[in-house]
Amino acid sequence: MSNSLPVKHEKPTVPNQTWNWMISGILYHGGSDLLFAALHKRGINACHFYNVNGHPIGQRVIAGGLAGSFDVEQFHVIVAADQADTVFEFIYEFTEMEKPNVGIISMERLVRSTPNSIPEGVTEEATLAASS
Amino acid sequence: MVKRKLTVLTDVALITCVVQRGLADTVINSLTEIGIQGATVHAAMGTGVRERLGILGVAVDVERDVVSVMVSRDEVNRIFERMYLAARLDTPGMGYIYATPLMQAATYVPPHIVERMHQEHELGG
Repeated sequence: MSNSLPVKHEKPTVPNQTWNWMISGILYHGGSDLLFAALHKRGINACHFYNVNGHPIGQRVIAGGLAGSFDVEQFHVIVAADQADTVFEFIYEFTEMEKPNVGIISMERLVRSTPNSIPEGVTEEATLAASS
Repeated sequence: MVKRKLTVLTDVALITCVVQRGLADTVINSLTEIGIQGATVHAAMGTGVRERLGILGVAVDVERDVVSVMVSRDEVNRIFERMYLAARLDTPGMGYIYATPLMQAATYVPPHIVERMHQEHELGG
């Protein structure tokens, strides 16, 4: 008979953040990587983007069935509700969306989400980058 | 001429899971084990830490897989937690997951399921 104590396996608790909003946007000429670097310096890490293709609003269709641009990027950023308006305005200004044919931005409430925790060193790195 | 019908689903939510590149299959397998089908996967890029990896030598892969699945609203928490655990999101740097409410959704719904839904509705189920 084994003398070892029974090991209790605890199921990890899943975060239940219900106060977050998601800011989504389309950038017709790309630039999400620069935006994310700027957000990262401000401690916002829950974001991702991917390439899509399509026709920017206001751009003439040259050939039917063909995408007008392959540089179009769709991005998503998750922020807390109390920061949402500020971050929304920051993204709007950073990406210069007041200019024509730059992109679209929108915001919606999330039912539930988890934080994007990143390794400690990367957080320090962001702090260093912000202070430099 | 056959009259076309549109079945609109209203009590649905979209769960999106942003995971390390290559882990999408693990998440999808965990869903199919409990009968959840129809997940969509696409590639994406994560947070903008790639260009600063050299300073402290900490590596976080910015290449991500995004798994999206539409589920019934009363099953959101159960499936959310299953995906979280399958993608090992409790480990820093692995990714994150979120659920968005949907106003309405539509797809092909087999006739026998539509019939069953109508019956349950009539019975007040």
